[in-house]
Amino acid sequence: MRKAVRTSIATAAAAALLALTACGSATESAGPAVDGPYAAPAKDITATISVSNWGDPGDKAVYDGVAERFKEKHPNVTVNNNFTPITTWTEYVNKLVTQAAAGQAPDVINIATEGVELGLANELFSPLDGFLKNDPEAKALREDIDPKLLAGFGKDGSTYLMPNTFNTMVIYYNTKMFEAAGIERPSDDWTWDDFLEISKKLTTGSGADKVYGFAMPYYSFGITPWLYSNGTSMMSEDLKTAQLTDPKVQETVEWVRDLATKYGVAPQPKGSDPYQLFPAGKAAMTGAGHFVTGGFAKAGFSDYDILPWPKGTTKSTVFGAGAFAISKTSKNQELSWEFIKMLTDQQTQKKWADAGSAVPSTKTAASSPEFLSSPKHAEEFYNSLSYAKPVAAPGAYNVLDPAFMRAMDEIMSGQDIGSSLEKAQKDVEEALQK
Amino acid sequence: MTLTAPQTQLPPAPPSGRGGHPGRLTATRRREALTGYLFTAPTIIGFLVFVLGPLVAAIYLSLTKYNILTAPKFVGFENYARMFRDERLATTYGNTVLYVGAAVVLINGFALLFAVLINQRLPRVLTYVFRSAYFFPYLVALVYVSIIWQALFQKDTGILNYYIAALGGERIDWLNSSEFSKVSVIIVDTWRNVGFAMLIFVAALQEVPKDMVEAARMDGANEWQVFRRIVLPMISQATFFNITITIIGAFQIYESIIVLTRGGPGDASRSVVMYIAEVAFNKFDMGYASAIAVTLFLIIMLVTLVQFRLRKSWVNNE
Repeated sequence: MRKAVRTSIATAAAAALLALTACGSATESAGPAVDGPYAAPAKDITATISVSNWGDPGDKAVYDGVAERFKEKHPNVTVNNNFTPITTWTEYVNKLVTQAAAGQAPDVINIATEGVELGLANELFSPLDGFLKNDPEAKALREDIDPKLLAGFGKDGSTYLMPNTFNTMVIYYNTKMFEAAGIERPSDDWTWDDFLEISKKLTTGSGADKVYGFAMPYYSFGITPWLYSNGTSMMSEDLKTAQLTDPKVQETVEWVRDLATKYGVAPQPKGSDPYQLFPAGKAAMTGAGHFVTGGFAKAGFSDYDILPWPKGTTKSTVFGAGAFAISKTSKNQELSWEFIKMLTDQQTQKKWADAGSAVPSTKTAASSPEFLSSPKHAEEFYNSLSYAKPVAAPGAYNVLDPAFMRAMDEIMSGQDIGSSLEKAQKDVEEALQK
Repeated sequence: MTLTAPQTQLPPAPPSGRGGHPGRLTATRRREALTGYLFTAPTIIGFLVFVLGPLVAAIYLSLTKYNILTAPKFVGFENYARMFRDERLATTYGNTVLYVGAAVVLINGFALLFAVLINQRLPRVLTYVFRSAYFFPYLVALVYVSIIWQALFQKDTGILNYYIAALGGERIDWLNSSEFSKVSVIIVDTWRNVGFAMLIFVAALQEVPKDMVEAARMDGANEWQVFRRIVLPMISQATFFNITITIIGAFQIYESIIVLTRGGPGDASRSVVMYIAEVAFNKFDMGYASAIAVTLFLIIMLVTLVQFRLRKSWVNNE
């Protein structure tokens, strides 16, 4: 209990310090020129650039590799490669905002769809238009990227971020368990009903020997595909209004809850990890992005394949992309751009294809034999972009995400769906007004 | 310490201390004073920078709208008015009051019970053993304590439910049900803090004069009467100290909840301090967070003041 005293003091102290430093963040910097030819910085330029990255240990190796390669090109440039092992999105974004507020924003910022609106609303990023227009290298790279991935990273006609990887939610299934139960691979247009029927068939045993049909991904990005495939979303299309109390949202949440409580085809999600149950053969299906494949490979598990998310009223799923931006306050705009290019070029994209934590954003890398080697239908990851929608991330995503999961926890523990979602709705509405 | 004058030449120093050789004494005094200030400087500077400064800053920020990225904007008492409409704040305050009540009753109740048991005429070695055993939880970092308890509380794999099921009971969802998540927090908080309070009680119990107790027994008082009429009043200072400490501590309960339940399900086990942290560092609503922090500070101060007032009526100063 004593430590709590310190915590509250630290809270106040941090607030006080930030008050003193906040003024520093508003300064404008030169920014890249929109007109005129782009000239890359000299090879022997001396400078230091700082980079903020996130991900799992496999990602870190890729980033470190890029930093080394950059060193060859610009030997006198020191790259401070700050890596944050990610636990939740909100934590990483919070860290970035705090850094920016302290006037210590990194030159190159790695951020995903979830944090883009927040960054744009607070003017953390430099527009990349000058570079994209005048740097010939950028043009080739850009044409190799699905326009849907680029679409989420602009505002008012300007592009602010370059995507490197993305994740899209698909259904993973255990091929051996399907075979043993005599279940054929369903068609790509399978429905919620098909899904439930298969889940029921695959749920067997009891007590410690219980095997579930489905291990539920229990975080908002993992629940979102259910919403999208039921033709609804937590937010309105323009991300301005929260619609957590929408009847369609309630209906979807009820369906998700019932998978665990009414049909019993999924375990209670709290306290059970789907990405342990699935490779252990304790669940025949789960939902995930590409990010689980690395872990499955490490665990020696390869008896799986992927399917599109089942259809409720529409065929849809969610995707979120990671991207790089140059901080508005950076004094090394050109050098940062050179680094971003290296972070997103084909050579690095191939590395992403190998690392297994996400899908590379260029078509070339995503259709390379390395990427398509496993699972059998790996091409579905990139193809799903044709029907997937980006994660609904308003500027207040830092409130939306925890508020929705708080409501889900309540609902899973047996409380009323309507009133739980209503509380979350209020919370988000209030945050959106600011 | 320097002796300033040959004592033999002077009359006994007058009580005011200003007699004798004013000049020399003042110089020494100044030096002594300076030394004193230097010795207390770290604490005073620490207090100014880490307590008073932040407190003043929090009070100022509580009157502003401030999202960290743009400069604070003065809004008067808007943040304070907003508290009355905030249902989540009401819930978290309700939980916190429950934690405080439970801590005062359970921690001090068990601590007193254990202290009395340990203070029996046991072989000395045994009392040491018991004292260490009960005090041990207090030595382990709270986060580890909470992680261990989290494992014990698991619904399907936890040892608590294993015994409950073995005895024919229903498995309890300790961490994910709205009612039991609070109970879990209270259990961990009590388990962890009983040892410290017990140690205070043991020290006080050992100060109770044995002859007084003996005399009462001779006069025919039974054990309960001895405890009620002699022991309890004699240890009332320790009781006062323990209650004050547990109240202040329980008002600020934080880490154990984060590890055990993350405040959930919903806000079922969330404390005010957790809510303040969320408003400040997730929502970046520093003004509102500061306003809540200021009210919490005032409430704790008020409760403590009331206690010091009531102290006269029941605490024995002898």
